[in-house]
Amino acid sequence: MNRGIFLTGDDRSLKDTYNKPIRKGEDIMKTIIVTTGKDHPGIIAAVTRELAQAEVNILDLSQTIMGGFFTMIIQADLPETVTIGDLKVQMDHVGKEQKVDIRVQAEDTFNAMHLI
Amino acid sequence: MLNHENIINTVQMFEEDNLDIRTITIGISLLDCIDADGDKARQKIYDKIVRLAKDLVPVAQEIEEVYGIPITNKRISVTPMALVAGASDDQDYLAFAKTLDQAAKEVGVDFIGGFSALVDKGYAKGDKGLIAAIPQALAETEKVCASVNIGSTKAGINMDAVAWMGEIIRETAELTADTHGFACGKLVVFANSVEDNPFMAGAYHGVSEPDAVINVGISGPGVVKRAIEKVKGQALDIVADQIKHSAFRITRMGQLVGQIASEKLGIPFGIVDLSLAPTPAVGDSVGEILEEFGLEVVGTHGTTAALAILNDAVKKGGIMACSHVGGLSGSFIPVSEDHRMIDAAAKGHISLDKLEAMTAICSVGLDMVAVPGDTPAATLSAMIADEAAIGVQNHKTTAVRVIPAIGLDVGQRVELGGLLGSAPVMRVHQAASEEFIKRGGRIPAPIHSFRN
Repeated sequence: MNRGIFLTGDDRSLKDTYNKPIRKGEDIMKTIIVTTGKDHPGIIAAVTRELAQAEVNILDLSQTIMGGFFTMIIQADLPETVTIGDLKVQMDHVGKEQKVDIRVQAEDTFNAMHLI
Repeated sequence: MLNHENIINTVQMFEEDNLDIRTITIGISLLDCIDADGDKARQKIYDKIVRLAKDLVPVAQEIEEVYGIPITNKRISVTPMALVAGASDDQDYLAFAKTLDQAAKEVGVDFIGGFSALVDKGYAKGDKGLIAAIPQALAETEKVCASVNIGSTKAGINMDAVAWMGEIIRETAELTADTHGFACGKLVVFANSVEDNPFMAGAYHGVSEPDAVINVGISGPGVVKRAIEKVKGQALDIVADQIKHSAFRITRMGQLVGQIASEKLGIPFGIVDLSLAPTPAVGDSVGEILEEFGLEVVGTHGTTAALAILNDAVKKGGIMACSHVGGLSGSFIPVSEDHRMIDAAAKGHISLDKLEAMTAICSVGLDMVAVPGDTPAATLSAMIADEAAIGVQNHKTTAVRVIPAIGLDVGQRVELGGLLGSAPVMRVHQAASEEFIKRGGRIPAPIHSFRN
């Protein structure tokens, strides 16, 4: 995965890149999907069904009850056709239906914060 | 490998502790826009800013969406305008401010900084014109921020400029009397200003910077406060350690955002500014952190010591988390932008004198403070001189952003709105400083500035 180039003072090639179009969500394959809310039957089923329909491949899933709250963390691979923005819209829909909060973020955010 | 706890911890920072990136600021050099014909210069300025910054807002929004990191402000800083405008034959520089405002509006950024002059040793051709234009520029534009550097450790303090800035602040306040001097919130008077500061109102793009650069300013007082809550009653070295851990994590977010923005915009990544910028929201306050140390209220005895621990630990934690640290990288204690500071000021627990003492630790000591509307220009100048003296003598940046609240007096409050919050009018010393300010001249550079 391309983690981004770190540019320093060398701007010889930068003129060409100034007007580069914005690229949507590329390079971002791994995501973390965190679901939290009041526990009730069917949350995992609803969330994973939606992910399956979007062709999102689950790599790791852990679920627990923390302080009475349902907490599920899913690590997943996004197919190239789906952006995090798209997935967020879909998961918001499931979240409303299941009365839970679903947060979708690139895994890089967590890696940056916790892994050196 | 990420564990469950790490992930929940991060989500909590975003959802409960108001963790955000305060600003992505593109610094843009306008030196190649210089033209003897003012109209041509302004056209070049507008074109260059729009060309380089047009994707800033969409890129920032994309980063917010994909990485889940809120980015509160998108900003631009430019070459001190006195250098650019001074090369033209124009007499009135207001038009340059309006061009900046138009360009900022076109690309949709929150602020544009750099209507600035650096006069620590004296005035060059464009400097006087620029300073004279500040009151009208700030009153008649929305997004333009101005700053003037009146002193430096190498040059000493230009007291003629200090005297004039007192008058300029008053004039700016009077032009916006209907909002009790609101425009003064967009004007900073510096000593030892820095060239890569991403924070407003004092951002400008220094002449030693590359053609364009991305700088990032972090925030996250809520995260630091929660970390200190976990070590209630424990020794201060343990508190300092906790702060370092949080600062490291916050700064990693800044580094990530800066790197991605740099790549997507094709503009080199400059620095992360390690300043914990507060907002008026509960849970996003530097005052709350200081109180969490064990102070009943921010401003009481012990506040400066607590701030020193905080400031130092944030730097120690942050410095390892990013490739280049820069900007101001000191604590921010803007009174109007921090609900605990507002409360402490309104109840008289924190005074201008205490804030001045805190300047020894942080960068902008008298920041977003309102003073009575009838405060004389010479008193404002003397406040600036005191702050500048602390900076010049201690090799550090200091600054003043003061609002003479036209029509208001101690006990009343200026409502500034949004991130700027509200500022209780604070008491100033009534004894005059006029004869001191009238002397003018230049305070010599301190002996320890001669290091070669």
